[in-house]
Amino acid sequence: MKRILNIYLVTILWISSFACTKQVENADLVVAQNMIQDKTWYLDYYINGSQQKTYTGQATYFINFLKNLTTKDSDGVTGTYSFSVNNNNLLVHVMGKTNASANAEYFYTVESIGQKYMVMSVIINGTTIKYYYSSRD
Amino acid sequence: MTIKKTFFNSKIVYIILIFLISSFNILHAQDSTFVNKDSLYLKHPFKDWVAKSKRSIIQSWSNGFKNYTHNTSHVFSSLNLSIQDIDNSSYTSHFNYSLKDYNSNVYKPGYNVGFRVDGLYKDKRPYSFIFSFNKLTTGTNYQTASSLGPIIGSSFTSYKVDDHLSTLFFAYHRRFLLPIADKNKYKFYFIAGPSIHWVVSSPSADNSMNKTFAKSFINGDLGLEFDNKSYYTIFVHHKTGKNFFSGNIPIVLNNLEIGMMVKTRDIF
Repeated sequence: MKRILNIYLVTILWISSFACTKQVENADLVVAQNMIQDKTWYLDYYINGSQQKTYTGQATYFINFLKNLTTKDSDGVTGTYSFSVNNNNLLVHVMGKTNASANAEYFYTVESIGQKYMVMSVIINGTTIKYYYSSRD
Repeated sequence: MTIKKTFFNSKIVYIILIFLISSFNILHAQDSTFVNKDSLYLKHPFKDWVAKSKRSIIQSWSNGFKNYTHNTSHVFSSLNLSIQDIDNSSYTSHFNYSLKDYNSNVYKPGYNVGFRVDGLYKDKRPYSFIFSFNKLTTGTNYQTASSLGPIIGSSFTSYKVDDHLSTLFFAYHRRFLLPIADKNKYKFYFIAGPSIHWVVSSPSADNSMNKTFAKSFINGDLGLEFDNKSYYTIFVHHKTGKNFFSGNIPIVLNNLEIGMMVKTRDIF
């Protein structure tokens, strides 16, 4: 019995010794990046205070985020983007230039992001504007 | 330079070096003999403590298992059907996962291999120690669906559980012989006992944030075993476990295990 239990114990210890799991660092940023990249996001809906508007089935604003951290939108702004976490808020920071070579820089708070749907918000003059995007790729 | 090369290439130098090293070893050996002799008359608190602890552990180990007798070891393999019930109602995050893609709500198949020791506790109560390696693919049942907004609808979850898990499994089962059929030929056992799934696969990025990763599941096991004239045993075990000590989202892991075991000595 002792011999069997010794073998049992040694085997368990041996297997357990390499059984340490490793978590992904900066997982929020990694997951957000995986979800947003290589897709074109179309604005379906927005809420600006009490004002609401839907663009479903209509020509609408869209923005493209690529894996190489570059972005381009339907207004002609091209540049780079990055994610960051600040006070438990997930932010996307876009730095670009317009067609007229003017600087365009803005931060959006990512309320929720998934493989197909994304909700972003921005506060302008104390009013929260929410943008609802969907990916059609 | 030439002199140096000649000097180091000379065989005599190597012979002298070997001789010196050997002499040093001999001297060192003599030295250590004296040290050993001296040490007999000195106190060694740490060495004594190690020796005493070792004796104590060996004694406890022997005493701890002296009641487990008539042991035989078996190897086994089984089909493992699994599902996870996820209570995601109180969790929010920056992410949304469509339940249409991730809520399967069925048992999915995996497998395990392992070995177990069967015997008698105090010469009368059948028991088994089980150890196995499991590759689980689990179905997922999310208990709550959340909404994303006015036009997107309400079939999302903020948390996606990992549904491919590798686990180490440890169990201690009591076995109860059932009064069915001719016990000299066929034995039917009812089994019950605790077990633990220890997840050894690394978590996905989705499970690496906000301490959501369930690292272990403490299970209660129930099952039936059929021993066919000691040639082989077929078993069906059901395990229900919960992540009590890791992961801040309550998850219930259900496994249905259908497998067969044979005595180790019949194979090796």
